[in-house]
Amino acid sequence: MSEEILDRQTYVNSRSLDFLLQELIPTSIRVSHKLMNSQQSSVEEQDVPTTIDQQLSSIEGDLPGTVNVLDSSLIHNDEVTIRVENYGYNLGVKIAEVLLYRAGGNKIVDILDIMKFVCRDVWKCLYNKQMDNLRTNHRGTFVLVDTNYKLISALNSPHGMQDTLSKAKVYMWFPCGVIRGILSNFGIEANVTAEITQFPSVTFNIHTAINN
Amino acid sequence: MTIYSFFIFDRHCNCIYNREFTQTSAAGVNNGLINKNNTSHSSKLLFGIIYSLKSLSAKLISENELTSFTLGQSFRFHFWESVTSYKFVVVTGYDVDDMQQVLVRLHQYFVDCVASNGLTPVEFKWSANGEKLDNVGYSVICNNSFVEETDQYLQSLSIY
Repeated sequence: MSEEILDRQTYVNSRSLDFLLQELIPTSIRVSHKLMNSQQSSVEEQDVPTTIDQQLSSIEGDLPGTVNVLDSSLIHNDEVTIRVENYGYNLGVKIAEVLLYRAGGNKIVDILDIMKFVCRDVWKCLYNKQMDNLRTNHRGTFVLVDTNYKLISALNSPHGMQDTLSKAKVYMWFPCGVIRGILSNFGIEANVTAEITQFPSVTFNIHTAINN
Repeated sequence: MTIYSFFIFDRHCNCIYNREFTQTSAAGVNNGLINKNNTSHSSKLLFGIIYSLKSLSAKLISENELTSFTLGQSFRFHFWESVTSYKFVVVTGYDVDDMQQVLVRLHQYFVDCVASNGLTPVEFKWSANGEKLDNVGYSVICNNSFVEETDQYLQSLSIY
């Protein structure tokens, strides 16, 4: 019975998923901004349909279809990045179980198998490709390389490469959270950071306390 | 056979991308103007002509979409509109026949490099009286990937 539920796959249009994930950062900035100013406007708001000239938050110029919100100084705020990381973490925790169930046959014995699981099954599910490289020093540190990371590969700011990189960095907290969530579901406390080595190539550094 | 210029208009009738090619023997790099004439009379007039011809053709022959029209003996204007009302216009020499596939392809670049690009707006900010609000660079398409890829594509065509 439960197998049937998982097999009845509902596919999501990958463009829709891209657009949804892209909205992570603006949403997080808006939430932070709102929380900071919450004492001023404690009035309960109703849900109104969004129109083209409706301000999405009190950040200047934040209208639908524009990207001014990303120029807000809040973008590198810790609260924003922690929230994005948390979104990823929650996704990671949930997706690990579903994917593990579906992967079925693969025996996961040690931590290297878990990393392979992340590289193959998880990346395949989220981005329809595998990680390009996996390295380890056999002392609990792993390096995962994706040479064309899909979430940021389309980003290109009109203000040039510097600006693109600084904004793309915030997006990287999401996959870090996903990986951390998966590992924590396997009972491994890990510290995941991402580095954009050569845009859009991304290196994930995972530090765990486990010696293998 | 020549491609003279390429325009994109958004649904607020503003010219959000304008590329003019100057034909030189030296192939390749950045010949011509990018986003220099967005507010000029010629691009506004071009929009006006297209708008009126479109409604005219819709009235004369229903179910017929305007695809291209010719001015005099020298220019042909190729037109394609997306469902989201972005209008793509390419101006070529008189002898170029059908460009619909090219325009659809240009729209694909638009989707890849502008719509899917989280750092570029899809609503371009202009003031109500048709002036660019140029202080932040969000009033026209000016990100490098779009400019490079469309240039490369148009210049690879045999009619260029």
